[in-house]
Amino acid sequence: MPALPTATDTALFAALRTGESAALDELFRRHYVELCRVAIRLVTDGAAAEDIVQEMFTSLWTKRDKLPEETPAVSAYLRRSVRNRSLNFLRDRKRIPVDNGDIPENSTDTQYQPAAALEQEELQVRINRAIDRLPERCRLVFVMSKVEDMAHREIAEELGISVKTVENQMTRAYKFLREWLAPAILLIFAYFG
Amino acid sequence: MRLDHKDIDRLVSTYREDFTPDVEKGLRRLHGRITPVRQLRPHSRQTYLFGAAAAIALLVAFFFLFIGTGNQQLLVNHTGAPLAFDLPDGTRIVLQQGSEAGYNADEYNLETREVQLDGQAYFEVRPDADRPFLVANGDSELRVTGTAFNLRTEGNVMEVEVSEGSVTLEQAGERIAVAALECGLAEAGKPLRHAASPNLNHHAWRTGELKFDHTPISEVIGYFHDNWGIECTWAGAKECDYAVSGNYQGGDAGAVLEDIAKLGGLTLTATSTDGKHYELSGPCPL
Repeated sequence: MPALPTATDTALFAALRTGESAALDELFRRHYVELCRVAIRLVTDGAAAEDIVQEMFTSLWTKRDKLPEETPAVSAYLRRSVRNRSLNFLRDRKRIPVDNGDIPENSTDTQYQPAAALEQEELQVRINRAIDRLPERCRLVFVMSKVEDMAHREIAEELGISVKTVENQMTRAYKFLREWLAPAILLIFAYFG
Repeated sequence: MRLDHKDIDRLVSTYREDFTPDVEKGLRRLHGRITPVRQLRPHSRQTYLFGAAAAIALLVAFFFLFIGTGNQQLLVNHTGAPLAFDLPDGTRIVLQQGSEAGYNADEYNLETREVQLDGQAYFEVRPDADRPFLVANGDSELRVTGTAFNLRTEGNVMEVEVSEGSVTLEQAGERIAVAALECGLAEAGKPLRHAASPNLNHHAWRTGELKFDHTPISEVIGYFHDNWGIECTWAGAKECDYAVSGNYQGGDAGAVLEDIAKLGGLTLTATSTDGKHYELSGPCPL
């Protein structure tokens, strides 16, 4: 195997299958932060997100002899694994809602005025808060679609709802987010063009 | 100006991008979660001075118990022979038969490396000045940054014998440094004690070696107790006081004790069938 820092993810994965613990460490260093972000987008809790990713890497090590022999897209494999674990986490805690929930009535963030100068950091907070304020089913559908790039059919299967319901939730989410983010529109265009 | 779907899609792509957990802390935590049992150290040399234990080792297949209770990891040696475990930081613990060690997998190797011990073990601590290795027993605590030592805990007693480097033994605000070839003893309610230990006789349960050089017989009997739990009393409570010299390597602990008694002109009699209770009798050597 090439030196660890220059080895490809696929080579590291193959080394992991043979029990090379240094390969596990290198994969961890490369992917931990991004995988934690995948998890927190679904479970919304930082500590739980880290636990989920820790468990996934622990499982990678303890079940290394059962890993697929050829894994050309390691990053996608790890992301999918964390996503599945995150959804199982929500299911185990009965946090996947069975109804649509209500969109908050006062959807405008009163902390910010349209003319207020927002720093980029504040914009990030506003985006996080906007998505977090969506009703849980709506939030999950939207995040799975737009952040995790999952197909509507796939989302429907994971959440046990119809594709039509997924589409309805997407429409609700866009409507809410447009209203919520409107006060920051000048800054948004300044940063994102 | 109005946000369209494309604008919103671009915005939400940064959702939770500000969440940046500490990778190195996470990696240390992962090491703590991975089962630390790496190997059973084969003790193929004549390391079992205590013959009964060796016999059990032959009859019973090696069996070890690794129990996870929440985040508390418990290492137990229920085999008939010493058993080695590698902790997540690379520190090695060789547990004596019947001994237990525990640590918190979530916290171990973050700020410190904290281990609890019930029984006796030999430690080879991986050097790490930033994360001291700590073993606690009641009010006593052993603090190490990298060294090798034998540690025995029994009730409120903690006894350390250092073979490499040095350790700090603490109890109720008092502390002493214990260097290589020295022994330290912490006992609740008593001052810390410190003595030379050139022959490392507290390692005998693992190494199979006992060396005596004009060693008082009371101290010799103490080594049999500390290493193998052997209780040896004097007939009629009439204790002798004489010095023992000689080297012993391997073999049955009871047979070695009998040899020592014979060399002093004494008789050793087993007072139970468990191989752990004996009585010395006869005229005291001059």
